[in-house]
Amino acid sequence: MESTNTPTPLFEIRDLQVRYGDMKVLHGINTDMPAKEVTAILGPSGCGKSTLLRVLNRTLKLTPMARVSGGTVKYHGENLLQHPLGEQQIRKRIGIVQQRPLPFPMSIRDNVMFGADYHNKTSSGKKNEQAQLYLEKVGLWNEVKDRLKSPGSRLSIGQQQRLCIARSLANRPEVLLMDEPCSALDPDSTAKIEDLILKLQEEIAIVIVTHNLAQARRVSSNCLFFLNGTIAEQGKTAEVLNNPVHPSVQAIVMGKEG
Amino acid sequence: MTVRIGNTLYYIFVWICGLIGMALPVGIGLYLLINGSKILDISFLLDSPRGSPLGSEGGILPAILGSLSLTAIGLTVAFPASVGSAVYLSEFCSSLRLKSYSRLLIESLAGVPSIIYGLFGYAFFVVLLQMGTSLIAGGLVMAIVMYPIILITSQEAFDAVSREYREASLALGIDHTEWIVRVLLVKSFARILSGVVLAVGHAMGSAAPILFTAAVFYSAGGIRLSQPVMTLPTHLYFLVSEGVSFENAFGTALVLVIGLLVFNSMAMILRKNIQE
Amino acid sequence: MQGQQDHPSGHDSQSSRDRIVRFLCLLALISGVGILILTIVYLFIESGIGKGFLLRALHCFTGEWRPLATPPQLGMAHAWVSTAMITGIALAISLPIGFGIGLFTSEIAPPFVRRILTPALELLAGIPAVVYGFFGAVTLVKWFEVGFQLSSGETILGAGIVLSVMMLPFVASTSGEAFRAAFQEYRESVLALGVDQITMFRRVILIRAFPGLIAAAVLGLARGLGETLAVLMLSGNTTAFPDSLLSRGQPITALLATEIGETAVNSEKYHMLFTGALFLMLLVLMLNLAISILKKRVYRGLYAS
Repeated sequence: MESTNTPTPLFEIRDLQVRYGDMKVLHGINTDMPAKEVTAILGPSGCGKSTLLRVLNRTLKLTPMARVSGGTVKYHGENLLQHPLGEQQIRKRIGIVQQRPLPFPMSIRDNVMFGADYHNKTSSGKKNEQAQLYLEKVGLWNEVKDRLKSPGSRLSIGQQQRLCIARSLANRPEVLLMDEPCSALDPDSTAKIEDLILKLQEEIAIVIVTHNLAQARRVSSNCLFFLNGTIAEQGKTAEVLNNPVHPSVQAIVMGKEG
Repeated sequence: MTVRIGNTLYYIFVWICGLIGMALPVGIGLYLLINGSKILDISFLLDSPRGSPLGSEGGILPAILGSLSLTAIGLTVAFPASVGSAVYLSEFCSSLRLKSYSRLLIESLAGVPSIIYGLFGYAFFVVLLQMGTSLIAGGLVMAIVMYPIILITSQEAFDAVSREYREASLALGIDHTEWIVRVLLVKSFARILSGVVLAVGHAMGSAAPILFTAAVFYSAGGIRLSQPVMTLPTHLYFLVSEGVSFENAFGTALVLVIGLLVFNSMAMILRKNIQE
Repeated sequence: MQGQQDHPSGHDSQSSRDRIVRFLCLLALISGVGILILTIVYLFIESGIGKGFLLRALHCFTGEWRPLATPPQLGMAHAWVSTAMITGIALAISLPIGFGIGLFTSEIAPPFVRRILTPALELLAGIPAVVYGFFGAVTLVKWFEVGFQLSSGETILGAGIVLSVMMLPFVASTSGEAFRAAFQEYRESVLALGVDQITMFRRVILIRAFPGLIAAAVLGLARGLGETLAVLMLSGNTTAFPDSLLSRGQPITALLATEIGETAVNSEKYHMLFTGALFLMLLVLMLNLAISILKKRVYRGLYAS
């Protein structure tokens, strides 16, 4: 499977198992994820997609009763779960954007710089400059440049979600995990975020969990199709969605798109 | 037919109860206001008790100052202790069992009559630690009375901040202190403050914990930690039980109730702001 | 390898300042809970637990209070009886009215009335005990003197009535919560059958809200047992054994408040007073525990459905 001329994958996941208390959520996941590409994770609700993101971002332990009960995850060839950089650095490098945008109780500027400022204390002037950079990146700068001091919660939901993306980007992550980032948004905001994903993939790897097969086609090059805590099918997005082999995946793809 | 009469009676009974519920606070409030406003003026607030028997004339300034300083000491001790405890329980404590046991213990102890804490304070602070009947002994007892109240409201405030916030914050790789100080405490600030107001209202009004730990009938000296103080509730109690002056008692009661009313409406306004 | 990768929740990595903050918070919790536990322990100590404790406990509930007799008699039977009578009266009045208010706020009241009533009840709960005592002294006590031709209007009955007003907001809000939950659950489906309010109340709501109503009663009882200033000012504070509703009495809290300051530390009387306080506290603690358990049951029922 591993030939000598392919670079080490970003993530190598082998037989990953996760439990919530007595309930098994992930039953042995096996996959590799490449750097600087968009990977979509598809599948019905409650089949462990978000759980996988939490494992990668090392925030699984914040969920009560949840634990990795077996298997390995390698990040650049090193054990992610016991990584020598430590949990905080891993979370900085592997950012996550959640389904529901949650601005922190502070100004728009401080929201953007919240994590970055913690990791790298910046002066006030530099902070403004940096904040502008990331707000421009997510296409929010023109909308908010006159009210950087007003609370982040005053923005519309779509703007809030882009603010949350800017907040993660300000950490200069290598990977951005996105957990159904558009499910709470209107079509217009969704389109903006999809454009952003396509633009970002030149710099960083993106793993996006989505319900929306059309969205997966639009933004991703690879995809993993989850069913009941296992990967039912994986490969190039177009191939998986055009010619699914697994009967249940077939049913879903046909039902939704056919 | 009988069913319909029953239904009517049911409505009548419930409405009467509702009216009683409204009439009582309004009635008590008006009664105190009408009788107390006769005596209440600036000099009543700013003068010391005078006359013979003492307290039949003059004002209640030392009692106001005493109540405020007792509450301030209580809050200074209880606030950091209770908020810190709540932070530990909701943020650092990994044992669910320890969490629920301490919650049960604290909730049970919050309901213990304040006279019990007064007795404990008397035996422990006044007698054993030889503080004597003093502001500091009474302030510490106040802290004990306030501690569970603020702790419970803080914990509820923290619980009300969704877990997703915690995840979203820590997912950025920040440490717990940053999340606690810049997000958790900020988001729960108003609720904690309304808990503080409740505790302060409770402490200001109760005489039982300080009756034999801090209070005296008359104190000429200023406010000193090692000296006993006058307080509004105990002053009212002494005026009535010794039959000194019902007029001044009305004034004292009115000052106490209005003071607490201000505190309580602050709590209500805060709660409303959170809901919006 | 499996063990190595087990990540129980909560054990998150911590920075050095996290460890300091964690330590300070733990310190706060330990000292706070510690002093609350110390309160319990200290009452045991001061009640002279050990030699002769059982005898003292028995005497506490049955004996007469004659501290000046030779030998002094230090029983508190009169106080326990007074406490029982006063809280009994208070519950008898505040439970029906409080439940009525609970029903009123949860179902019957028009929204604008509800908006006035809720803060009004909070105001009632916020009035200090000593003000209630004073208020009772200038109203009920005076009226009783005239109405019942008493030489002194301070009575068990008057103390009970004022105590019932003090309990009212607690009974009303706790029962109101229980009623609200029950109505939310059943209102539509029951009224859809075409029954009237009283039938719905009797056949469905009352049964569903019952644990909550018990909790309200227990909460009122716990408040009433520990109430000090109002009953101290209104009951007459006499050590005679109360023999009717209109006689004077001295509930246990009033006895403690009256005597402790004038008692030599570590005397037999001192130990006896703390024995009384200890039993009062244990009683209230048990009631509070019962409330917590009852409330849990109310909510569990609510979520289960």
